[in-house]
Amino acid sequence: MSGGALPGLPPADMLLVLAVILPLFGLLPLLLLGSRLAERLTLLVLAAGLAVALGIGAEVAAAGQAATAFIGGWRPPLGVGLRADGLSAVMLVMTAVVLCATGLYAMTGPATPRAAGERMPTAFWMLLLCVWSALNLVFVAEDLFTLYVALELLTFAAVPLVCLDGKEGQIEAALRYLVFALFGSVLYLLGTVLIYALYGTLDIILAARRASVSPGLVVALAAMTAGMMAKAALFPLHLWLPPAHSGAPPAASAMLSAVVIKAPIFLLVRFWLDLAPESLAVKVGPILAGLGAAAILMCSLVALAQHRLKLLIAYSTAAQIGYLFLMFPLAAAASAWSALAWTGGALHLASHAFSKAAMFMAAGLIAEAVGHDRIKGLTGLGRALPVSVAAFGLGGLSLMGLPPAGGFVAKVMLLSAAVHLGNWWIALVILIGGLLAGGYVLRVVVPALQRPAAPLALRPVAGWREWVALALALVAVGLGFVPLEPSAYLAIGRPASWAEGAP
Amino acid sequence: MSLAFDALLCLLALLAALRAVAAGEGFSRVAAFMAYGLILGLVWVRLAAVDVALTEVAVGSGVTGLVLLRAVARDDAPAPLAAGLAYRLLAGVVALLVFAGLAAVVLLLPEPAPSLAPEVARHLPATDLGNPITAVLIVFRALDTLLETVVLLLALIGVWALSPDRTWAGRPAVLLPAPWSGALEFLARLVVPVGVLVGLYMFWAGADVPGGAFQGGAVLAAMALMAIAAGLLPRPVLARRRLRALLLAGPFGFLLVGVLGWVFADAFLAYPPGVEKAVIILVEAAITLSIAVTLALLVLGPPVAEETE
Amino acid sequence: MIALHLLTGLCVLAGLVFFAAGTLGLLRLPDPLTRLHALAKADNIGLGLIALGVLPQLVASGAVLAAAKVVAIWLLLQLSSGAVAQLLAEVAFRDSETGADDPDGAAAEAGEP
Repeated sequence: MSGGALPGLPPADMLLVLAVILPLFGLLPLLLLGSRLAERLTLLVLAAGLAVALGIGAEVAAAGQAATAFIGGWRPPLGVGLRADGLSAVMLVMTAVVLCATGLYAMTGPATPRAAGERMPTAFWMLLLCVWSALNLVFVAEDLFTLYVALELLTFAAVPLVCLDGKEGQIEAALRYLVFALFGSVLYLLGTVLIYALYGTLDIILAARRASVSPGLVVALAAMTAGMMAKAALFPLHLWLPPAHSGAPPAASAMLSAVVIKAPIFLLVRFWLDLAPESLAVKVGPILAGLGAAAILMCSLVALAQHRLKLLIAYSTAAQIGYLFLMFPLAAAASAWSALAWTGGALHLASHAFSKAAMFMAAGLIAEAVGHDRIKGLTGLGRALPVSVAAFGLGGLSLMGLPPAGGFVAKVMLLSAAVHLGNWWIALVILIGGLLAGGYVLRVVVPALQRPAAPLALRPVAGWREWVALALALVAVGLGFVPLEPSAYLAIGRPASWAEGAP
Repeated sequence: MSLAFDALLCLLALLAALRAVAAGEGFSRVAAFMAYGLILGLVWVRLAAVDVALTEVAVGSGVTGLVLLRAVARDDAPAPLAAGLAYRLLAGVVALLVFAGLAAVVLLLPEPAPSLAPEVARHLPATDLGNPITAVLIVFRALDTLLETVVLLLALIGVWALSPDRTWAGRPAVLLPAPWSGALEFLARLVVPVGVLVGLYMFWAGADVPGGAFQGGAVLAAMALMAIAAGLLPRPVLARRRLRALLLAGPFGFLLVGVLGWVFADAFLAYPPGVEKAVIILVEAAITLSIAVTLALLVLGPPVAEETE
Repeated sequence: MIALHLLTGLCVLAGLVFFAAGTLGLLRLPDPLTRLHALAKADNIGLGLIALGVLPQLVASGAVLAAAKVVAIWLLLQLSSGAVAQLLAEVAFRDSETGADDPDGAAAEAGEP
């Protein structure tokens, strides 16, 4: 048992397990009580989960090394290990903040009785809790098969979120999402089986120590990577994402677009920067980056042509995912600049999560107030719904990469790493992508700030829900004030530190 | 002789698989899929993986086949997507490429394959269990099994989510929309008690020989469905507290044992020394019950708004 | 010992003949009811003969429990195949009564040489 590095906190290994199981306990009241009381209890669970995530972050910072736990006291390779390094801790906290905000946003207000159209409160809360448990497991599991279970949990929690309103188009989008996600799971499992057959272990660190470039490892990693690409909707496997993310209820869209698709990307980081031998990662990095670049250019262009707000945001997600793939060749290179690319990638991941959640929430409120989400009909909305439009705009600011937003600092880091490592084309793509993002965000924001031709007939929306969206957008902007240098926190527990201090 | 038998099995499995994915009417393709599952079960037996064989036959072929049959039997089932020849060819080429890559890699794998089996065998006495598969599932990799039971529960929630929340208090749709049949009732009255006994035995024997919670639970679920189809049991009312408690018993009983591991042993999901086997059997019993109820409800499908009666 | 093996061989062989006949009937007979008849009858006897052939071997080698299981399997299959044949026959009969579509049977008749 690795004792708590901080007095007053439970030991780190307990916190790691709690991060996974605590959300599940929220299912009990939801299935047994199924009422508003259960909804309130869920909010308590969300708050407790946020505390656990912050606790892990603090423990990792205080100890200066990764936190570990062994289930049942059985150590790998026989047992299953959980492990949170600096990146895991950042992801845990990011997920906790986004999901708590989503919970607040989705809460039934005291003044807003459930409308007849609102179908699914209980199911929504159950799925939210399971999504959280699954994401936390993805971020801390050190075992390839446990990760498969986590992905399964994530799939079965995320797919029903898409069709919560039960409309025909949504069910079709959900089924398409399910097919892509299951296809990805099968490919992932295939790779896992091959790695076990090669190295006789499922533990990522033990496998990484034994790994050498061989045809078996290449096929295994290729299968797992293709599977994760399908789940992360990387171009050209992105076709399921826009209908699924735009058709879901706004709170679900925020969750799906902000954090759920980050899980497969996080696993790709694990595969290529932790598991794969460096010589292999250096060769594959440019391929991933090429697909990322294609995603940025193609999906941004398609986003520019959208007529509906939620579809525009969904295509923007498919485009922004591309930036995370630009990180691979830069971070895998053996150079001092790769640490900067690494920090930039992680920062982009976090700031995109906050800004995208804010934008989907704002879009949901706008659609609720106006009654539709056609971009043409939003002229002059800035006066009527200033807070929501501000949340959308500030989130968009981060996407565009304008100072002082988090997206700006992230892109500067990636850009300077790309330039110093001689990857000019990556730098060019980052710049063009920023311009295109500016195009599709301003297409919405500029008309919204104009004077309306005719006064808009609006239905009232709960003010605090607008403030939740704005708060998330402000977090995304606030990330722009992190120092422009490689983060020492993100380097905690990374492969460079594995040589000494065996797990 | 055994080589010829294995070759025949492989050929049959391939034929059944081809029939299941080939064009044609839904019912016969589902029948081929179920046959494929049974043949695959035999293949697993030939590979001495009896636990996998039991699960494949019970869940992969039986329960899944039943779900698919109900889907194709619906009057409003959408027409199958008309895939063009080019699309089919493309899919075939991709499948062949994947197959070729896998076959090549499998032939290149190290021989003998590295394995954790000796490690499991070395630690088996510490678990007080006789079946190494059960030891891996309930002791060494208990977290995976625990979360798999949650996945099953989640799948049910996903199915229920197809109906609005307010119908969750109701019942699922009728299992077999056919008139009463004396033969079915006769069969159910005789087979259900025997099947329940078999399911309980599979769970109980799982500690030491092939079998366990998933296989036993699947058999129990099949018996419940048969009783419901024959009219011996009413369709369940989903809002019943007792039913919900049965759903939750497995995952949350397991979670509770895990949390108590911090108190009575020194880690999450560690079993208290001395009474490991008793606790493990209790956990398995709870899981078996929950799996049985969850699988049966999964087949019965989402609750429907009750217009009749 | 030789006599025992001979008995087993004969019984299993006879069982296989019945299985083959039942399958042939399933494929060649003209309408659902007769096909079911062929299948259910022949399969029950075929399985019974195979069980009968295997039993003395098991008893002779002392595996009495396994022998009991073989008998139980035969009884259960007897029960379920009989009941299922009855169920299928009910459906087939209802369909022919109501003049419902029976493309399967019609096709088989048309395909008769």
